[in-house]
Amino acid sequence: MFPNAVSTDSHVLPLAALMAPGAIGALLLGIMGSGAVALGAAVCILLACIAVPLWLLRRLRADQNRIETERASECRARLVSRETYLLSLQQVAQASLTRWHDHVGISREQTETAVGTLVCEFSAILERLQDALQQSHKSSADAGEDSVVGVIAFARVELDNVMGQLNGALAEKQGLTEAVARLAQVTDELMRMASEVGEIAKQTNLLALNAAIEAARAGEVGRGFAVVADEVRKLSDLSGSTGEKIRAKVAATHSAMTEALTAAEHMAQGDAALVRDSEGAIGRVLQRFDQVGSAMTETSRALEDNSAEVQGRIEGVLVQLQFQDRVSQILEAVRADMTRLCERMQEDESTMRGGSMPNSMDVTAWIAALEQTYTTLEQHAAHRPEMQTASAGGDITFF
Amino acid sequence: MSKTVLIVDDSASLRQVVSLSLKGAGYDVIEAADGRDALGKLGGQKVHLIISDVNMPNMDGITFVREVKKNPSYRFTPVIMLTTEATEEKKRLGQEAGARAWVVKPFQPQQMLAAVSKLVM
Repeated sequence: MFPNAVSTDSHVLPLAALMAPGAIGALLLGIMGSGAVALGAAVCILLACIAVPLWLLRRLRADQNRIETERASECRARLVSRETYLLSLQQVAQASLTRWHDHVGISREQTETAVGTLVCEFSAILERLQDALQQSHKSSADAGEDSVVGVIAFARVELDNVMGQLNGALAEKQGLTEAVARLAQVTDELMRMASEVGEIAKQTNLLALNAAIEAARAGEVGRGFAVVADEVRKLSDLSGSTGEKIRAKVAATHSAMTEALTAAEHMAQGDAALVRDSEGAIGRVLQRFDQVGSAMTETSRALEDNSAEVQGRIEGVLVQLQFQDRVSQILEAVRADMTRLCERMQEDESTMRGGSMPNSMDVTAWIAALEQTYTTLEQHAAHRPEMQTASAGGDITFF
Repeated sequence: MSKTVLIVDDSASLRQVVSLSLKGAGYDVIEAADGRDALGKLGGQKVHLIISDVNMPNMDGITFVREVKKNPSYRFTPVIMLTTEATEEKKRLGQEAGARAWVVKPFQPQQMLAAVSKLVM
């Protein structure tokens, strides 16, 4: 990293060369000249020849020590900025992950409740249909497509199909929860890396201190400083490689995040399609039921009662099907936040590729921006116990 | 003559749920996917009531209600907000924009019908 760093030993030879001709001149003057004046002059020149180079050597070492000390503290400052960045990234990821995890949990819970209720409603509907079948002896003999038997068979197939899909949706949410859990491991690694960088920064601090001590003793000993200079070089190599490691880790986190994001997107699409299918299935069953109902008015007093009951059940199903709207809003907020963090990390990664360190992240501001996107009370309540009195829906306020 | 209700919601399934209940009770229904779509579909035709979601792409429900109330034809058309949002702050915004009722999802179709028949012109 510092190719111009040179050892103090390399200065000794030129200085000796500087001293030698002066010393020879002084000796010649002393030998060839006569009298006290010539001898005095020779001694003065000899002394000057020794003193000036020694003074120069001392200056040189002091300068070099100063430069190395500056490099060491520069290196330390870079490491400290890396540590700060890593810690802030880790904090933001940690805080976001907690929220994503809880919000995915809420959507899973809501889906589970909806699926549970739908199962009950559907089995009640089927029971009613069976009932109708037993009471309408007349058409039970008729096994055509529009007979009660045909309708019930049709309803069973359609509703079983819907239940299968609902269970599939639950499994997908489980997948997202796992992806988020994997992301949590990555943030743990970020934490470890931050502490590693912190350790190196501490070492640099010691080294800078050493360099300062060496600088104070400059000229006295030359050898000690070469060791310090060497350490500074090693350190700058090390700080370079931690920079590369951090970049790689950010890239890995980014790709893990992309994976979770894809899972979230896939799930949201699946949910919407699922609800459309469920409604289609219910619509088709109702239509068949109506057809049968109108075809058998004479025997269908019981059937009509059952029909009203089924209608009521269907309304229950319609309430439950609205879970998709809430769940998709909660998941949309999670997806948007994942995208935001992904983009930020991509930006930071390219900043690091460019050789500079990105700015640290502000956790409070980041979470405040996330909370701005909340649309349901459950999202707020997940992190604020005082909001647990959240409305469960169905409230009507007239202005 | 049957009365017409405009439903504005970006969730197709939710529009279906509302529309199924309303048609069952004898209303005519117009559907729109967001505020902008709704303004385009209204185009001056008579509606007796509007049901709108709050969080939608292109134009959100609050902005839509503010816009629609600027048109003299719809100044007195009652609006019901139908949303997952339940904070007092959002409700206040809805009221200021000119909504007459705020229904939090998920709702019972019967509750929705009661609110519609209470407000419909």
